[in-house]
Amino acid sequence: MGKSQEFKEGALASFPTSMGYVSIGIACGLVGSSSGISPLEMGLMSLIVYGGSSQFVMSALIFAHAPLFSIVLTVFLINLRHFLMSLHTTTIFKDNSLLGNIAIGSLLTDESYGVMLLEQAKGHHISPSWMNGNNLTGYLTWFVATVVGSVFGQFIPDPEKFGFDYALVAMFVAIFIGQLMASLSIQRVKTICAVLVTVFIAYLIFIPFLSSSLSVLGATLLSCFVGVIVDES
Amino acid sequence: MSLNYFVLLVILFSGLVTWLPRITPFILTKYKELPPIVVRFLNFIPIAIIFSLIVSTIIEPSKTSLYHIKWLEFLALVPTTLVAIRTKNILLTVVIGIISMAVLRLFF
Repeated sequence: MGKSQEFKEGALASFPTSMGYVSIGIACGLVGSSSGISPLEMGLMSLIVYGGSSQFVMSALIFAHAPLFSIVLTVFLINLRHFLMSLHTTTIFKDNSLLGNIAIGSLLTDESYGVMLLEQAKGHHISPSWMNGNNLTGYLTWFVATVVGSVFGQFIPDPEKFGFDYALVAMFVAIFIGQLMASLSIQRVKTICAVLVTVFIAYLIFIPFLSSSLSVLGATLLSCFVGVIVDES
Repeated sequence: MSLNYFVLLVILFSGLVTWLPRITPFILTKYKELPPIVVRFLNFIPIAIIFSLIVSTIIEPSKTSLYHIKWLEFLALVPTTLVAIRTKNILLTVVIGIISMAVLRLFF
C-alpha cells in the first residue's frame, strides 16, 4: 500500500472521531464566544492547544479573570494523561524518524489514540502515514468546528439535543470492546478484571477530591500497577 | 477580529504545556529502549485509559454530593455496548449511541 493510500485510510478510519468533534467543537466555540473569546482566539486555541476539555476550561477561566499561571497549570494537569498515551504509542512507531514521531505525538488525542488501538486490535500494521491521516483529519475537523461554533454558534440548534455529543462516548465503547477482546486473548481474565475493577474503584475514590481528568490519570496509573502485580502472581 | 494580549499569552503557554507531555515520550525513547517492566506496565494503558474515560463521562464531580451520575448517558450505554459486542462495527455503534441518547433525551 502506498503512503497516500495509507494516509487516506487513516483519514477514513477517523470518521467517527470527526462526527463527535463537529458537535463538541461547535459547542466549544459557542461557549468560548459567550465567554468573550473571539473567533480568531478560538481558532488559535484549537491550532496551538488542541484539547477539548482544556479549551472549555480555558474559556471559563479567562472569563473569570483567573491569573495566567493558574490557567496554564490547570491545562497542564488536564492534558497530562497524553504522556501515557504517547509513551505507549512510541512502542508502535519505533522505526519512524524522531521528527516524524514528534509530528504524530503533537496531534495525538484520546480519540486518535483510540482509533489507532482499534486498528491495532484488528491485527493491522499501523504505518506513520496512516496515523498522520487519522491525526490530521481530527485536527482540521476540530479547528473548523470550533471556529464555526464561535462565529455561528447562536444560530445552530444545540447538537446535544440530538445526541451528537454522545458520538465520542459510543466510539470509546466500541474501542473498549475491541481492546477487551484483544487483551483477553493475551492476558489472563483475572488480570484484566483486576485492572478494570481498580480503575472503577480508584476513580470513585479520587473524584470527590480531584478533577475528572486527574482522576482519570490517577485511576489509569494505579490500575496499570495492579495489572503488573496481579500478572506476576 | 480581536486578539487580546492576555488571551494570546494563555494560548501560547497552554499550548506549550500541552505539547510537551505529548512529545517527550518520543524523545525519551529515541535513544534508549524502555525497560521490560515499563513495557509490561504500558501494555495495560490502552484498556485502563479507555475504560476510565468512559467512566468519567458517566460519573462526574459534584459540588453538592460525592458524585454526579449522568443516568441518561449511563442508560444509553446499554444499547451502545450491545451493538459494539454484537457487530464490532465502530460506525454502527456510534450511530446507535447517538440515536439512543437522542431518544432518551426526548423522553426524559
